[in-house]
Amino acid sequence: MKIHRPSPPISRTILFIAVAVVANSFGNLMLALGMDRMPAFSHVPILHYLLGMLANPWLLPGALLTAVYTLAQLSLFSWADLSFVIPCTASSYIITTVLSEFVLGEKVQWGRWIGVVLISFGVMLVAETPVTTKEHPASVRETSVC
Amino acid sequence: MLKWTLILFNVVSGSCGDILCARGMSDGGELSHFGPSGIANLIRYIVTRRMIVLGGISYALSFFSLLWLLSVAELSLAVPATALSFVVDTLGARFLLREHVPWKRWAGVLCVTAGVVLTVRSGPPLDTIAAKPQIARAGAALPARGSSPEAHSRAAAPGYSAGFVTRYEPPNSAIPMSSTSNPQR
Repeated sequence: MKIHRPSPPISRTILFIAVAVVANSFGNLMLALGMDRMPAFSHVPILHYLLGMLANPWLLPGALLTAVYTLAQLSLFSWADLSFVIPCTASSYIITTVLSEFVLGEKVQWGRWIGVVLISFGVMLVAETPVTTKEHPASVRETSVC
Repeated sequence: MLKWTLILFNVVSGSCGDILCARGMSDGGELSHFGPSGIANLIRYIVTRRMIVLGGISYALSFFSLLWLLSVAELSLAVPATALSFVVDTLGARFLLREHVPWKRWAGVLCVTAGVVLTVRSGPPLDTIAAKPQIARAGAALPARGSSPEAHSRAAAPGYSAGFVTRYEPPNSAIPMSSTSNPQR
């Protein structure tokens, strides 16, 4: 007999998707800004290069945010469908486009804005489906739901 | 031919990473503690679970195949093509993970895929794909220390794709060799 466990609260799923999306967008932005200030890899000794990465004010926070993104996404996988999480985390393309236009001052072409509208519409459609469609095996780690 | 093989390999290995990680995480049951000890447990779980480690290796293969792909294919083809992974992920979720994918989710995935193709095609964003090329073209325009990041990014943006590809051409043929070190003389 299959027992349907209560699905996790939608609010927690939304929170984790938001954390993943924001951490991914800003993490990549910081890594990009940080790597922009590094000398060419082939021109300097490797140790010198690694020390330069540590001293770079953008790279460590960027890597930290990327780690937050990874952990948030893996946590989501523990209760939500892969086919739910993956399209929803594509929202980071929206943030990236907005950042390009308004923070980096790039002239974003209209084709990208159509893409942003399509992604938003797609994420809204996916968000209307249940977070999970299969039963997860009961966990030894699970003792309470927060 | 090589570039299509690489696109296929990149998409499939990336999706394999997603599917392996999703399977590995859902096997362990639902996470519910997110305090310091909960996060420590999560990290311990991730590094000891075979499926998730294999997923990580898959992600790495996907990343390196993307670098190779970008060195042989034009950016305007390679980057949008990687959006196929949304479709492959959903197929994998349906047939390997046995998720039920309602039609609304399919429609959403197709919209997202089309949207991502449009978004990355008409200008490389600073996202997962685009952040990595920065490593390569960092040397192309080394900014003066202390210049504002905004000003620099604006200045660097147009050379984006060109700089990335040049990284993979034979480096530095122009570096002058010291004549005294040449044994022929």
